[in-house]
Amino acid sequence: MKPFIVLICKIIGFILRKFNKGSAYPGSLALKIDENIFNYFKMPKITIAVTGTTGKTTISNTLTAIYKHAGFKVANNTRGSNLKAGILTCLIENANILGKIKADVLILEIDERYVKKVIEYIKPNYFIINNLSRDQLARNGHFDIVWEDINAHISSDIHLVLNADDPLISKFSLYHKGSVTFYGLSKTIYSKNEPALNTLDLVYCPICNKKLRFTYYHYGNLGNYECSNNDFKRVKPDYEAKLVSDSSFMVDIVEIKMNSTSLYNVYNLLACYTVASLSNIPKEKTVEAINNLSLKIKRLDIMTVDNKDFILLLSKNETPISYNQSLEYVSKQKEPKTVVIGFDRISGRYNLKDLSWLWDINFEMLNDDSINKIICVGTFAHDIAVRLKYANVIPKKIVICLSSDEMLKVIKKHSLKRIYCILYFDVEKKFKKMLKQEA
Amino acid sequence: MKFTIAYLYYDLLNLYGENGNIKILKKQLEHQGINVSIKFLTIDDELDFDQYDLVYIGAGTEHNQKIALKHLLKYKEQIKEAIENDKFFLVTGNAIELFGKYIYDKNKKKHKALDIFKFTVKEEEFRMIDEAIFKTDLIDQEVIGFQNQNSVIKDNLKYPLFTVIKGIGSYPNSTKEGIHYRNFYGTYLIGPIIGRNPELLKYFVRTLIKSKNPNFKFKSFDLKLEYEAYQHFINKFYRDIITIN
Repeated sequence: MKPFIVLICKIIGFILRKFNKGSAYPGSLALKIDENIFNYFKMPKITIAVTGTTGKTTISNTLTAIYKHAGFKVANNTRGSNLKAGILTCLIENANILGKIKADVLILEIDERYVKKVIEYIKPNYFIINNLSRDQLARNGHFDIVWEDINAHISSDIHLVLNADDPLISKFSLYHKGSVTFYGLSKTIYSKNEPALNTLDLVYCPICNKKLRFTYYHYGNLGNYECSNNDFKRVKPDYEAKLVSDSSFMVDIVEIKMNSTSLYNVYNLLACYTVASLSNIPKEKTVEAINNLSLKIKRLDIMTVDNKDFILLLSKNETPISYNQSLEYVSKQKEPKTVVIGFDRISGRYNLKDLSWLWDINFEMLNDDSINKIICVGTFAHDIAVRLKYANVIPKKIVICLSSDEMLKVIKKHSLKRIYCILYFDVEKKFKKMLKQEA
Repeated sequence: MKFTIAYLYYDLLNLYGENGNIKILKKQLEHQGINVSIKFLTIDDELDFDQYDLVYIGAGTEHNQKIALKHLLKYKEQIKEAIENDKFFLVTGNAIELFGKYIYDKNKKKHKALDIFKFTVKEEEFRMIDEAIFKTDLIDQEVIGFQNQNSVIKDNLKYPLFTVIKGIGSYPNSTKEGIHYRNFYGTYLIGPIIGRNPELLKYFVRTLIKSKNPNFKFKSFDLKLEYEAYQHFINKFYRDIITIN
C-alpha cells in the first residue's frame, strides 16, 4: 500500500508543480490515507534539521549551497512549507516509491511548533536550534511552551548544534544526553551593556532561578550571561565568530563574507559553517560556497518614484525581536526621513486580533528628530498610532491613513527623500503595486 | 502631587506587552500634572507597600509566575493589609492567580498562593486563547481585550470585575471574570487593557487621583487616538467576534 501512496502523491505533486502550485497537498493527502506514512522513509546519511524563531530559511538555503558546492546531491523543503504536511511533501517528492530519499544530504527546516510532530521520523544527524524568542503568541502561548515541546522530543542520538549566545537555546544542553556543539559570536563593537528590548524572555537561571548577569548584549537576550551561583552560563563556543567588519567575520582561521550587515546573519551563516565542518566538508569549499552565495537573502529592497527612495523593510508582526531590528536599522540611518508602518492582518495563519505584541517592541526608537512624519497605514493604523503616542513620538508627527489614495496624498505632501517602510506582507504587496502605478 | 507606581516582577512577569499598562498610566498621570516615579522591582528586592500608591503586576509564563509567587508570599500580611486599607492594585493576566488560595499546576502540584481571595486556580493541559468583550458597571463602554492563558478559576467569584459578553472569562463559557474589591482591580485580560479601553483608562486615572485629592481639578483628557482605535475596532470586528461559534 505505501509504495502506491507515495507514487500517487508524487504524481499529484508533479502536476501541482507544473501549474506552479507549490503546496503541501501531497503530504496532507498521504497522511489522510495512512497516518503512519512518515515511518516509511529512509533518510540519507546526512540529514540536517533546522529550527528557531528566525533564520530557518536562510540556514537551509545556505547549507544547500554548501553541500552542493562540495559535490553532494541535496534535497530540501525551502520552496515548500515547514509544517508537518509540507515536510512530508518534501520527502515524497524526493523519495523513490520504496521510500528511499534519492539524495546524499537532506536539509529540512521545521517550524518550531512542529518539531514535536516530525523530529522522531526525520531522525536528523544534526539538529540546529538557532534561537527562540516570543513570537506569534496568539498561536504559541509563550516561549516556554515551545521550548518544552522541542525538548521533550529530542532523542539522545541527535547531535544538537546550538547557539551559545541565546540562554533559551543553550538551556537545551542541560537536558541532552547526546552530543552538543555550540556556535556563538564574541563581543563586538556593537555590544551593549543594556538590552535593546525591555521585555526579555529568559534572564533567570534555569537551574537555581537566580538572575543572570549579562556582561554584554548583542540583541534581544543574546549575549554573554552567567548565573551568580555558577549553575549556568554561556559556554565558550566550539565555533566562535569574531566580527571583522560590517560585512564579514572570522571563524577558525577563515573569513566569511555576509551579504547582509545584521548581526543575526552572523548566527545564520555560522550555524551552517559549524554543521559543514562537523560533517567534514573542507573549509575552503564551505567558505567559497557562502562567499559566492547567490541566494536571495534579504537585501535592501528600494523603489525610487518621483525622485523619492522607498526603502521597504518587510517585517513580520508578532515577532518583536526581528521587528525591533527593523526599527533599529531605521534609527541608525541619520539622514532626514519619513517612516511608514502598517499591516492589514496581524497574522497570515490565524484570524485572532491580538495587539499586545506592539508593546513588546521598542517603538521608542522612532522618537527621533530626523524623522519628520510617521505614517500609520492598514487596518490597525489607529492602534499603531496609539503605541507611537506612548513611545513619546510628537503627536503632530503621527499621521493615520486608512486608504491607499489617502496614503499617496499624504506621502506626496509630507514625505522627505528617504522613506522607510516597515510593512507586513499584505500591505507591502499593495504598497509596491501602488508605487509601480505611480512610477 | 507625587505618585509612586511599583511595577512588580517587571523582568519575570513581562509577557504580552503588559508593560504598556505602566507606560500609559505614567503618561496620563503626568498629563494631569502629577510627578510619577516608577519602581521596577523583582525577587532580589525588598518590598515596602507603604511606599507605593499603586502596585502593578502583569502576565508571565507559568514557571516565572511560581518564582514571583515564592517572593511575594513573604509579604502576604502586608499585602492583605494594604488591600484592606484601599491601596490600589492593578493586576492583569495570570498575575491575578497569585491572590487566590492555591494554584494547582499541570503536574497536579499544589502551590500555596496569597489567600486574599478565596478561589483556587487549575492549570489545564490546553491553552485558552481568544478575543474578549466584557462589560463592567464602572463604565458604559464595553471593554475589549484578549486572553492567552493556561489556567482557569472555577469557583464563584465573590467580587467579579466583569460580565463576560464574549471570550473565555474565568473558564470557557463562564459569565463572570476578574476581581474588583475596594481598590484592587484584577483581570485575566491582556491588551494592554487600559491601552485599548479609553473609558476604563479615564475611570482608573480619575479614581487614582481622587483617592489622594478628592477636589483635584482635572485637565481634559487627550484620548482622541485611543477613542478612534477603540471605535475602529468595534466598527470593524465587533459583530464578527460576537457571532463566532
